[in-house]
Amino acid sequence: MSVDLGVLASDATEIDSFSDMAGKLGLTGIAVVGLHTEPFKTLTKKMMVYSRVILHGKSISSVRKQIDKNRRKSMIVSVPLKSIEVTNWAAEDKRVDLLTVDPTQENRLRDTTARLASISNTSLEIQIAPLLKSTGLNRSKILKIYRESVTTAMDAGMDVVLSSGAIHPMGLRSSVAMAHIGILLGMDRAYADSASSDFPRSIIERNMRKLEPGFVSSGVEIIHKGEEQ
Amino acid sequence: MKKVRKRYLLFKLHRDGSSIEGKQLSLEIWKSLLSLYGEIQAADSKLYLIDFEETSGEGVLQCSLPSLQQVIAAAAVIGSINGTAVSFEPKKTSGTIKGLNR
Repeated sequence: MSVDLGVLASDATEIDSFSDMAGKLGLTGIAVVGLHTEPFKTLTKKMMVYSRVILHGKSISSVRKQIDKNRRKSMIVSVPLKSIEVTNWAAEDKRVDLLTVDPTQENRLRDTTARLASISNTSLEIQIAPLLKSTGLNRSKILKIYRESVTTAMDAGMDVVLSSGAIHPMGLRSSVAMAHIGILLGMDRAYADSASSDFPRSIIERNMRKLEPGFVSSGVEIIHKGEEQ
Repeated sequence: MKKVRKRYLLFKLHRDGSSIEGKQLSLEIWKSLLSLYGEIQAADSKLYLIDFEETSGEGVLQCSLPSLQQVIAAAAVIGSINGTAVSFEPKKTSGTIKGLNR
């Protein structure tokens, strides 16, 4: 079971073509940005579509407002690596699932941020789409940013998740192809396999448990309700 | 000269558009390998496209054992060939062609 947590479909009508392609590649789920109606949807027996929200706020208060509004509606909540204040706040907040590396921005993952994230189970997301679009020097610069971020995260014990960042179905990759790209980014084989399938799956499973009616907080759930007198 | 062990890779090239010739695909993988790992690694990979079915997109690549991972990574990061969006899917690796069909 492999899930791609980073599908950037521009239109809800594209979801079918994405899920067709994902099925051909052996994926069992995709997390799509812009599907705000429900946290997850079962398309077929073998294909689930999860909703994802990207929080683009410039200040902590703006990101906090967005997260309060969207957490219950979305399966995946991500924050792009931005200013140190917002990034560190997001790394510490257990409601944030992913910190996304943006290779076009100057902001890098710091050791301190990675350590905070490892404590609160926030993962680093690397989207491979920029690697597919670029060549030569531009690709080399992206590889440098990605490889540095991956090393920082792994050293701090922060999980790294590989996703496609695809804007069209051909941008998707199978989990095996993704794992090999992970090795290209400095991971060993076992870690790359986890980054492409185990870590995304565990995020989905963790968030599915949170959506269950009896869930109170991590490790606490209502097993049996007493009668009111 | 020490004999280098070979590996065979069964793959499928998904595409969105017109069909792609084996020669074009082979060239793109070479280019990607050269760009990512340099001339020495590309030369040592002994990359050779043994078979490629243009309509289904299925094919078999041959390369040296030490460069197998690099060949797969180089092929996986190819986003388009001659303007056609593609997705390279490695399916199976084996030490013999016969092993791929088992």
